[in-house]
Amino acid sequence: MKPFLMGSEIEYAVSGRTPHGPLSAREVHTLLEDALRSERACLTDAGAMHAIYLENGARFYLDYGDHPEYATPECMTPVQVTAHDKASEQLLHLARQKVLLSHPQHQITLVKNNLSPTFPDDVTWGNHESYTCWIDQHRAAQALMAHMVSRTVYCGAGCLSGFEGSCAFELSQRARHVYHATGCDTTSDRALFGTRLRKSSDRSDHGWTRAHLITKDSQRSPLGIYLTFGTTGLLFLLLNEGYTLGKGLELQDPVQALRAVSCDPWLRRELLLTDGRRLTALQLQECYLAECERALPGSDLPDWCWEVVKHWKETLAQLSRDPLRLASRLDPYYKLFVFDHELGRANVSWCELRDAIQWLQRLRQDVSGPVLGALLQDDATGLNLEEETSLCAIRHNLGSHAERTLDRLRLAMRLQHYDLHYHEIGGIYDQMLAAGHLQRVVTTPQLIEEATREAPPGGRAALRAECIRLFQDEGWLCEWRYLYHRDKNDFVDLRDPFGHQFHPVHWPTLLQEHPNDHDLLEISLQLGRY
Amino acid sequence: MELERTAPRTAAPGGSGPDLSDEGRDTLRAEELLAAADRILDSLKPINAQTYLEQNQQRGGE
Repeated sequence: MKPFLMGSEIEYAVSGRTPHGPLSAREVHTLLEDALRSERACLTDAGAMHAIYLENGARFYLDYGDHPEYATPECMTPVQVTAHDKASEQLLHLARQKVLLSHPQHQITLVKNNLSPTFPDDVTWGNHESYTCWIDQHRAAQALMAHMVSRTVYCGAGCLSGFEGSCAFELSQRARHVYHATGCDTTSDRALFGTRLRKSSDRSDHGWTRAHLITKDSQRSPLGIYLTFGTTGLLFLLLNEGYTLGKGLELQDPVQALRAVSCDPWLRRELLLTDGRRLTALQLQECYLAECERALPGSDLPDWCWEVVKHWKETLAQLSRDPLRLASRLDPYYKLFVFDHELGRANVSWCELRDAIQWLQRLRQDVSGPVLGALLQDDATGLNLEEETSLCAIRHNLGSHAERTLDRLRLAMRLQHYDLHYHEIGGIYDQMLAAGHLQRVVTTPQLIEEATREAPPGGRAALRAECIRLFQDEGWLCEWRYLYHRDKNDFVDLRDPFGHQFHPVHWPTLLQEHPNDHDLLEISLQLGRY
Repeated sequence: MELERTAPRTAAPGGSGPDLSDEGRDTLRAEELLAAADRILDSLKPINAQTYLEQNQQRGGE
């Protein structure tokens, strides 16, 4: 078996306020980072400002766009990825509690979500996956493209949507932000299968690359995280071992197919294949599942692969029967279940809700907050003349059914709040879980707590974690590939992601012995500022 | 635990869902889940929802 690792990077939307005004996301990040430093052993990042490595081998940093991001340590199983993804929630919750203890008048909100609640077409946060890939990435993309589209049935977080083509609900928050089948851009021209190889650590002379996929949603449900990494990881493992996958499952237009699946929460839409056949997302998933089931017997694939197949099969069977049967286990179907019920109570249809969401989007673009507030409350008190004029114009445009339309807008607004609050750390998901309405699957509180302190055993992350605990506060800096002591010039070489041991060496000596090593030269530049 | 669906579905997004009338047995668990959602939504004023959404508006990531 070729060595194999996977991991996740989770972007968090944060906001903060004090009695004197709002805090910037950067200020919130700094508060959280300082709190984490006091709660866990950690080392400063050698390569970036506002970044630390934690004693569980993970990295917490301020990413481009000024938001906190958490990268899990390198994991070997999907259960480990899931536990470490959930550990990020717990660590940030802990950090926020710590901040609020010392700043009781602060308000800090942490949201694990992928879309701006008010401008979803313009603003998105990512949740990136990494997998060790031992074959050409374009070949992997071809084999996995139909999987990348059809896995949307469990790798999304779900959201209310005014997106054209949707009927007020989408399975995936990220689907609308994907424009290409393959590509290397992660910030604008995003692709279903990312082929970015940016850093020297993304590839090796030994033949592996790091496949970096960016279409998964940030999920609160552990089953969704587990299935995403479990199925995709298993398929990469098989490709790495020389299996052929996805043959005959080529989609005519993968990007359009992704959007179609996202806008079809009842999972019935048929997707056109290049051979003229039409299959649903569930049927495509069943094809990949069957390929895995054929490969497993007699193979030396790790035990977690069998577990994944079991959960995968059960999930597809439930989804085929009725997606809402997974309402207590997967984010999108929980939301769908609740929203469908609330629409029933209000006697509003999904299409009417979509119209209301589109109305709200237009209003947010065209009018100020106070005018929108006055419209919702039916109270113009406090508006200036210009705002009052604007309010009158909107009311006029609502026509003869103004009150009914306003009621729908109010309902849409409350449901949007519910949708976002579900993703807030300490929000609706956590409240529902604590009340026993949602299921704990795959992980346990104990596993998650352990993941806040321990790296997955037996790999590079465990070595990094051990070093962080040993070396903290003694002049050491950390990076994924090494640790470095800025005064003693000691260097711990962790460049082999599959390594099992470390030996501190003298950095100048190492450079002299390998003057043409690209990795070391890149690290040398990085360390130049020290 | 398996959640059974209880509520009659409205005109659903992307067409109607499967008809479970013959097997859609009510369960206490589903009722409790929906009752909890009702309580959250019923306690929420639209203007407060708008304030919450505006306060959590950010520039986005990546």
